[in-house]
Amino acid sequence: MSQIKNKSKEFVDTNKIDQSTAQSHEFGYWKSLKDISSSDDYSNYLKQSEHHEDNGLSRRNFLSLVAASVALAGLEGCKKPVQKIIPYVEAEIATIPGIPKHYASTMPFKNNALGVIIENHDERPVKVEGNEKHPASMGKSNSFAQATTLDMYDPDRSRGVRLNGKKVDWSDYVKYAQSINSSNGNRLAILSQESSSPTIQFMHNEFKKAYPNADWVVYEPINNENLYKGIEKAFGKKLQPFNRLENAQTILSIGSDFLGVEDNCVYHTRKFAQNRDLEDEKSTMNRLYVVESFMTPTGSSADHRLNVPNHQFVSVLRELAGELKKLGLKIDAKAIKSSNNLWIKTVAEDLIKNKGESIIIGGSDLPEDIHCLIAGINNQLKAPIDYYPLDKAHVTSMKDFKSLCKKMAKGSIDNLIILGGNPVYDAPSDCNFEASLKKVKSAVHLSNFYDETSKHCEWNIAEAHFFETWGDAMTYDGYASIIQPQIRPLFESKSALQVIAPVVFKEDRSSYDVVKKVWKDSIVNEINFERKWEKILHEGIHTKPLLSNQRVRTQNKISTAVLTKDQTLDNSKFEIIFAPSSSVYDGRYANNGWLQEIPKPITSLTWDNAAFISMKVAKKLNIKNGQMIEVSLGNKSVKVPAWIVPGQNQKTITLELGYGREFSGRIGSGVGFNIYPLRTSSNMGYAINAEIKVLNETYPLATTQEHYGLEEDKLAAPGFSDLSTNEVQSRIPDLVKQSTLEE
Amino acid sequence: MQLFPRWTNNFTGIFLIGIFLLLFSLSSFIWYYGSPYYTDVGYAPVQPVPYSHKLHAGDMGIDCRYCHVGVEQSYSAVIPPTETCMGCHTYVKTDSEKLKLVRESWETGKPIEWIKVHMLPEYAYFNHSVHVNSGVACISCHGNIAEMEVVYQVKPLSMDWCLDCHRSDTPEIRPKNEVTNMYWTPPADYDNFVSSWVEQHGDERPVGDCQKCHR
Repeated sequence: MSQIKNKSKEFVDTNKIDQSTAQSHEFGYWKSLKDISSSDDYSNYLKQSEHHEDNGLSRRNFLSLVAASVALAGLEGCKKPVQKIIPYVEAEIATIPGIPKHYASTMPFKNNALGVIIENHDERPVKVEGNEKHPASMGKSNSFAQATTLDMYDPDRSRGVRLNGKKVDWSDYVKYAQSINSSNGNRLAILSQESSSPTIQFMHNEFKKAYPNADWVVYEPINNENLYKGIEKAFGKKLQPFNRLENAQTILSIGSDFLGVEDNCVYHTRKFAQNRDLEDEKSTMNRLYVVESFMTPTGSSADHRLNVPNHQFVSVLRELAGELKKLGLKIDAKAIKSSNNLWIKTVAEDLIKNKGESIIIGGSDLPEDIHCLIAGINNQLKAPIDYYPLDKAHVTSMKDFKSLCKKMAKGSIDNLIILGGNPVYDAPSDCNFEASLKKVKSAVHLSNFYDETSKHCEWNIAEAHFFETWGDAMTYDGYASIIQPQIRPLFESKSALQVIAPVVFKEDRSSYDVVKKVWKDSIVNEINFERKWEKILHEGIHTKPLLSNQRVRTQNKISTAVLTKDQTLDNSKFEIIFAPSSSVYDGRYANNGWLQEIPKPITSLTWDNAAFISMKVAKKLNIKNGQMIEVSLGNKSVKVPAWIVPGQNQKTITLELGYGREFSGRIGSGVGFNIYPLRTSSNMGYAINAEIKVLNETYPLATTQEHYGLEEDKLAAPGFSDLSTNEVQSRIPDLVKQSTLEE
Repeated sequence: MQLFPRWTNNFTGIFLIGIFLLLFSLSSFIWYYGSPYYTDVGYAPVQPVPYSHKLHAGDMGIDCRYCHVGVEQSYSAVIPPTETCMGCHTYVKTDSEKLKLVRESWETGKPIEWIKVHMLPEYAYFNHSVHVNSGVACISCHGNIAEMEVVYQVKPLSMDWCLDCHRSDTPEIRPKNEVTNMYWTPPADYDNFVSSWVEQHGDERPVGDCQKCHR
């Protein structure tokens, strides 16, 4: 206990901005770094905030002005206006105005499916919640699902079909698509986003039949390719791991934010929390160890957190493997060694102790070697992971994507059909996607906005939101779920299925027909299809999984893993991490005001992205919150404001992707700073040896962290004594979980 | 000795005028906002279709719920779609001049724009189904619709008026199956019925909870 107390003190000491101005604060409850570093700053801040006197047009002044003008405006309303009631002409079947209707549907997200129930008022979808009968959502949802309603009603969405900027009919596109007739598809390619839709898979097969030489390339900027490759290395086939966290007692996350923005987070969060719920004396609680380089929601939920830069994960794993080998696991990977670190030793012991109920989860941006070793260790630990075949899902292949870019650059692609996504903005900079796209004779872009990619495409087709179209998707474990439309397309938008149909079948087909045909022929194998179909529409999911759990076994010894050498970081240089944003993800939600507005976990920043730096770096380079820094990697550089975050590794700078968009969205255009120029196909997750230059300008970042702060004397005042600051203070040391490798 | 400067002599006058203005505005305020002119009692707008409730609901005895289908389930009583009119008027009075707009609406798909008679402010939540299912009769708020050629507002629909019933020990309720009856006469043991109802449901009535209606 005393050790922890010392640790906490040490943490505060190292994190104080300025020792001289710092008061003799006992380490306790603090709300922001300002709060612990210099209480003068904080009390000044409090004085300026809304609880105190106003300076200029404060919120309170603003509200009183608004109230006054509303009162004045109210005078005009002395007489009620004539109101009208406009009923239906034909009654909607089973509709009573005022009573909402709920329909099951599915939110497709990359190659996963989140079953949702959509609430409709007067035939308009207004609210999304999880579908309790759906195994991937279990009645829960995430922020993207909650905010997606706003995406559909977004007035900035692109509308209809455009040819070179001029509005044309859908039938014109159909004619165009029918005319694509390159011999066997030599000069034709489709670039799609990740998907697990059985119908898209069916279309893919039909496409291959019609054009055997054409390419179908899948690209997603934030993907699990390394994970899949690592597993392929370990087990010999490409598999989708499904972490059954409900059966895990010891969980070690290596750079994985599985409770935050990583895939399948709804399932993970639910099942992780399930084992944290102590119902009686006998029930046990799981234990979460996290190795990470910057603070994530997962790290903040950890029981024990180790702060290591990403490029050193390999050495952590090397030592962990060494320790596990000592404890009896059959690991024969090269270059593993035993550890002197107590933390790693403890984790290894705990993993072995709960063998069969312990699991290691690696972050999707780790290199494939690490994933291979993790898969091997998990296999030896008999970790509760199910593996499902991946061949029915469309997942990213960087190799294919790069070769497509090369083909395009050479001018050997005439027709390119881009089904969603925004590769001009989010493709790795070494692929030169923009320049290559300009060499394509005729490109079709299906997108929800007129965006960076649309500008360079001949055809722009408005993409239907999943509220507006038929479709399907599949969970990792093979449950096919249906996407059913809630409303007619608002902006004459089309789904991916509708865009490919005239290319493949040479005729226009509705997505309903295609989806139903696929479900009839290959998913529901029952004689009474129509009845079953109705049931599926009602439940939103087909209860028989399409995939079966694959038995995997490595050789007795994990010798396939050849760990890459430790990367060494130059002394004055940094590692940069490209993290998906919890608000806009890879940039796709940039025009969603709800997501932009919501404070991000840990930093409470809203709207913009920032470079997260540690306290030590800030002190050393004299960087203040909001100060612009120039991060350069190779010959590329971006300017971005800095933000000091506790729990950030001092070697690591975290950059959030998805900002700095330049498109026709009124909300998201120009918000934040584009990080993608730094990202290359060889370092999609993180890069080392980046340099930073402190610039002499600042950028106002909005954070809600210090809102509604209370002064300490107020806490101690009578009436507040119930809050018992002492109680809070005394618990803090137990709650602080900080440690680094450098102790 | 002159303690105050000379111009302060006007104060008495200004003061008196001020008091007069204050009283005047106060009384006009009450006079206006309490009057039927503001509460719209008697408001009887001319509807696009001269539909007679007296004929349909009164003389022919069609139940309210034949058209106002939502009244038992939804917050809204529901103005019927054109389809409901056409259910009968495809066969009855097929070439009536008065029904021209209805037929047009049915053919073109353009809804009829009825004018709202009973208007509650947006900040007040009202739920038809709760009232009807508790035994509050149509007539209690809407008056005897069955005798109205043109529907007009009978009650003030003010908050004061709502609370009159909500706070009353003898609220205007009746057995649920008599809710739409415009000519119901209370039976002999009506007092017992009301008092036992209050005993059972008294706590459910929002009496002093602002947020029950002002959500």
